[in-house]
Amino acid sequence: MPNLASLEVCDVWAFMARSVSCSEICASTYGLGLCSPDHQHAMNHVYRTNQPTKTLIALALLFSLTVAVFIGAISNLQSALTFTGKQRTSTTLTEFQAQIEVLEVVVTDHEPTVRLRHELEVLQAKALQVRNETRDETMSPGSREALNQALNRIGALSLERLLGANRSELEQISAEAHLGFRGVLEGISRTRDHLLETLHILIISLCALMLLLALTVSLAVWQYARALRIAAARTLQAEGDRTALEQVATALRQAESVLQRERDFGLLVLNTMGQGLSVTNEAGTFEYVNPAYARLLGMNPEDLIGRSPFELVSNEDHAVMTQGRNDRQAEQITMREHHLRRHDGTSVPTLVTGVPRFEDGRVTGTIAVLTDLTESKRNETRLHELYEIASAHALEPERRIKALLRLGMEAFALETGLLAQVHHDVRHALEDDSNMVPFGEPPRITLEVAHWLAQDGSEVGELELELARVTIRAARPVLGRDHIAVPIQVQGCLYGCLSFSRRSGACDQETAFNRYDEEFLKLIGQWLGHELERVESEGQLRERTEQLNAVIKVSPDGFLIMDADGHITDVNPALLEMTGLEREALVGATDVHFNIILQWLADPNERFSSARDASEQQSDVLQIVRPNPRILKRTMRAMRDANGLEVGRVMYFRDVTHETEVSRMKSEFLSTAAHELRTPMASIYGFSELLLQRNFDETVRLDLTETIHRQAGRLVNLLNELLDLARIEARAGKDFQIFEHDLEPLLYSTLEVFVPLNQCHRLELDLPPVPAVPLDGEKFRQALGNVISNAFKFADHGPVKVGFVTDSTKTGWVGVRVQDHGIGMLPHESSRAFERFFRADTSGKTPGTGLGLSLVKEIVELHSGTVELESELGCGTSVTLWFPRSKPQPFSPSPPHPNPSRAMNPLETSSR
Amino acid sequence: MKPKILIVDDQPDLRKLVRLTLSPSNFELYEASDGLQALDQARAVKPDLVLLDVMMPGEMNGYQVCATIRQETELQHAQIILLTARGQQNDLDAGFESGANNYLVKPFSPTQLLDLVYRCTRQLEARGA
Repeated sequence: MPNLASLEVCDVWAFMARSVSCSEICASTYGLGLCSPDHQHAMNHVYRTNQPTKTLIALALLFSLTVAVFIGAISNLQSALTFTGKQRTSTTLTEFQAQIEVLEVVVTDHEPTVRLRHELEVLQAKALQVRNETRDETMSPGSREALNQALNRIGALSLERLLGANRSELEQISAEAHLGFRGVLEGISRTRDHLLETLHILIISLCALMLLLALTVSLAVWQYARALRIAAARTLQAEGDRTALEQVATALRQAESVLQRERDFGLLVLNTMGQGLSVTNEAGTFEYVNPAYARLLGMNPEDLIGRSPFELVSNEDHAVMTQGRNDRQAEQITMREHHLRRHDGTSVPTLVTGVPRFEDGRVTGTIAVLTDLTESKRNETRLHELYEIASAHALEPERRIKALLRLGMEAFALETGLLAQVHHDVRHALEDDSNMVPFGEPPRITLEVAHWLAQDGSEVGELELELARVTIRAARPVLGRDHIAVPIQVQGCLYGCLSFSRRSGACDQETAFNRYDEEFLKLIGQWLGHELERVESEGQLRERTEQLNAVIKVSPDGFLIMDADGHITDVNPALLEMTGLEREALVGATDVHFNIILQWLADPNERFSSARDASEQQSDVLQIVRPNPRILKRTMRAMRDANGLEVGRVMYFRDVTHETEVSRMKSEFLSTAAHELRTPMASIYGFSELLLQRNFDETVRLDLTETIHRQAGRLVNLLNELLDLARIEARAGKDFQIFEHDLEPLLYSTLEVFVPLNQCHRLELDLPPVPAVPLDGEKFRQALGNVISNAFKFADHGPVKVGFVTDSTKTGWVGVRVQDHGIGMLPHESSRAFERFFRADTSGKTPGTGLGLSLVKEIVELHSGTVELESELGCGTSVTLWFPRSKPQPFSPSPPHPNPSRAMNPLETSSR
Repeated sequence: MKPKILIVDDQPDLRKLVRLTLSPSNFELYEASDGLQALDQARAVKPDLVLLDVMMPGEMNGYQVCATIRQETELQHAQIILLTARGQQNDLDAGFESGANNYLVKPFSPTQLLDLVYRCTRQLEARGA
């Protein structure tokens, strides 16, 4: 934009006049935002007033054309004025023709000659008149010739000829005359037509003239009025345009001043900004450098002007700079790190952002911005060191914290580093009372020194502790000239304080700590918090794991742990004991493999669901036959992480063999006991009813009564023995009164009761001296009595040997043996002899409940002894009760034995 | 023709009770003391009614005897009443499954037994007629 502001208004007009189009000016001024739309409209109007000259010219041309036509018509009118003469000629001709016809009639009618002559003379006079009058008539040559000939003939016509002449000559004259007349008349008619035409033209041109005149007048009036209006408008426009242009000029002047201010401000910014800025010219030398740039180099800005940036960087950066310059030549913005060589020879790391400088569309130099990277480089190094320490997982937490303190001391150039921990009680008080500080004294912060590091190796002092207290109370980083401290949070709770400080008064730190330092300290504090948190939770985790491992290890139940992929990661000893498998065979195996193992352990007919099929928690029962028959209850449960993702599975195996067996035996016992009780009751009930209803004779009645009595006795025995058994089992020997007993007196007293009187002769005693045995005398008699009565019951002949035995293989044991020669038992029967209600002899001939031997076994085993039974079918049975010579524990429950054939105590369980 | 009744029980006292209960009526009574004996007797006499104890010592218990009788064409028509000391539902189910027509739980009243036997024999007569 040329210096429009300095143009005067008239100059603008001239400028506008020079312009191709006025509206262009309008557009340009409007585009500049300097001209209002109203002004623009006015300018357009000015331009339009120059247009209508063409209309005026056309009007003038039309006017002159009409005048020419009018003049032509006037001149035509001149010739038309001769028409009157022609009218006369026409009359003469008519008269002439009439005269000829008269002559003809006269001739024809043979009128007198006088008349004829007269008429001829008239005719000839007329012919002469015609000749005169038609001389200058315009007519066709044929007509003129015919007329002349006719006239000549008439001239030559004499009376004689006329009298003698025939009529034909006259007729010929008439015809020729007629022909001539017609030519004359034609000419006259043409003249008349021409006249009429001329008249028409005259009238039309006259009208046109009138119209044009009116038009011209009105146009002139309109033009005049318009000229007046335009003149008024122009005056107005000139006013408006001048205002607009004045506004333009004002705006431009304002813009100029703003620009100036901005330029001043820009210069101020450039001069005061922290970043270095330089402008180089095409030659690559400095045209401008700001003070910051010069400061970076330790020089004056003036000294730098005219020098090349290449002189200021270290040699190894030259290649980079050249590359940068080439890039900028290609109109690219470059961003590189350079090491500037300071005036004093030191080097400064800088980040240089170069922007190509354009002038007239080509690159004419570079504008470069330099950022001092010294601080951020230093921070980068510190951060890297922090990262190194933080990620050194091989290092113990203790040493890592120490390393961190050392790093802090180096980074802040301070002499001591302290990690102080707030005392546990105070920690709570601080958190609780944080809002109550205004009331009374804030609680005294008791600190424990968790870590301490001092350059001179001295102990922690009250000064450092006070700094920590202040920081903790402030709950934000505290920065001073020779200390810097930050509170530490662990798991969102206040833990303590990390502080670094200087002890000596000497201070070589030029400036106070900056925000990099604060950020770095915060970072160390945060990391330290996380580290402490991790150490704490690791400890907790380890403790928990230890507890869990211990539980799993000593648990009698089996545990198996799988990872998310279904690989077994751990099994406990109980599971190995249950399955008889080696740990190595299981760990690392997949669930599929484990399933196959279970399948192998189990009854081949049984099918297990795979662990993979298991839903959240699922239980099933496995019956395995290897290594021992067992019933295992398996519970599977998925372990999930915080996000609900499955991280593994736990299988829990519980040996329910014993429970299942007890449960089975309990129901079996109940069923059997019910049967055993119902059978005698059936007899008692049935026979007594029969006795009541029917009249039997005396013998039968006696027999029935005897049967009832016997069955009732059986019922009583059964109940007694059941109760004995139940009591003994329930008490489990607790009520045993165990003393040292000589066995012989006990044996005799037993024999007295249990050997039937009539069978005494069959008794054979073998009583070698045996030591006294600790036992409950009453229970001993009960047990032995059962065995002795059995011997007499099942052997109705032959001797019954009763005696004491010792065995070299059973030192410390004393046995009491009862041997008969009775019916004996088959091997499978003798193995079941101690089962409740088991009776080898089912004939019903021998009374009994099947509980006797169970009772014996129970009593002996509660004395920590054993019962030995040898039997052979048809040869007899030998039962030995072995008692230990040392005093048995009054109550020593034997550990659960997996063997299902072991006698259980269903009564005991049912009674609970 | 008198209805033939086979009494099977391992307890002599119980056999005596049943025998005494039924003897005044017009029945032909047979006895057996275990499962195998019962089958032999049954094959021999073709009883119309078997009063069968369930818990018997020996190779066959009452259910097994019952099932075997049901399998033999010649014995199929026989009515079987179980005399059982086991009154639980699963025991009864096992009884019916093996083919028994009815059951009586010990201890039972002789009148009850007589009623049940009459009912069975009347059915037999009705069928025979």
